Amino acid sequence: MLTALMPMATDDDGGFKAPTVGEFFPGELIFVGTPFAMTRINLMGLLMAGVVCVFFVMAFAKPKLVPSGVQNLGEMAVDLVQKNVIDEALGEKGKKYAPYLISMFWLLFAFNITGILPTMHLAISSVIAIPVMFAVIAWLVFNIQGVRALGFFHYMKANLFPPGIPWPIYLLVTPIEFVSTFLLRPLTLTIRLLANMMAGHLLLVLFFSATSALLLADGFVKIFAIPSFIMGFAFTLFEILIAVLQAYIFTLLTAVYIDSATSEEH
Amino acid sequence: MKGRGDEFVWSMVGTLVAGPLVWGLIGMGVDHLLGITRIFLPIGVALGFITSLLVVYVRYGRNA
Repeated sequence: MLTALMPMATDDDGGFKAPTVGEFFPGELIFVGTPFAMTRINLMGLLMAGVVCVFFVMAFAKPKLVPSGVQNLGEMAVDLVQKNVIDEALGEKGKKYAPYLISMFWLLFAFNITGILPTMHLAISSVIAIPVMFAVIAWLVFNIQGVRALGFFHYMKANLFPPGIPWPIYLLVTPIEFVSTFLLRPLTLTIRLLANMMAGHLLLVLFFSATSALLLADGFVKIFAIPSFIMGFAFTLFEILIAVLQAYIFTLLTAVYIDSATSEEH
Repeated sequence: MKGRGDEFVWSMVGTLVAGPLVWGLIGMGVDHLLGITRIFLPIGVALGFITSLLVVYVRYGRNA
């Protein structure tokens, strides 16, 4: 019962077992041994993607001029990203990218929040394939839109040769600009999200495993189960903030990259 | 560029990491080619860092 409500790693006799990276590589559950084998995380991913799709379809399938019920929630969900990310970073030209950025934000949020949902206990985005997929799509979008807006040579020139630098210095500057714009951007997007989600999960497992092990222990050490549980609970609340914040940062940075790629001045 | 806040920090950090990384790796390669150890690596890291500071100034300081 407790393991369904709290993420924890215990050994066979219920004692304390420190969480390891093995947490992020669960065994195959269905279609075992075939190329279509799915783990618990794959199934959770499908479920959460389905939930996001169903929510938005329900909200906007039959839109009314005066919104009510689910449409109200749907409009709030759209407005949140529109006002805080798209208008902020892209301004007028953001309309074109709104479907992409809004879907990205809510999918990321859904994939992050599973880290604290009872029975799931693992952020889908704490498996590297998910942040990599989002980062590669963001990389493709900002580069393709940049090339479309400025033309290939102008786009490369704007990114690799910042104006106002004496030309011999370009020998030093251009490799740095190439690496920071074309390689480090997708890499940092991936690592920031992955590391936050992994660390959050490990902390929760650590505190709740310790709570369980301390409760089962003999003697006065039992009392330390209380602060351990309080810390676990506090970090669970903190993980809600992290789930929103990481989805926000990822979406905002993608919007900023699109804006800088499609602007004349860099 | 529009006057944005925190999101610029990430771009600046990217540039500040990329400078020492790129020129440090090039310096390490030169060390390896010449069969010497740890001469061009620190030179590359320092050069990369100074250059990345210049890029940050040009991109985000002077034109902000």
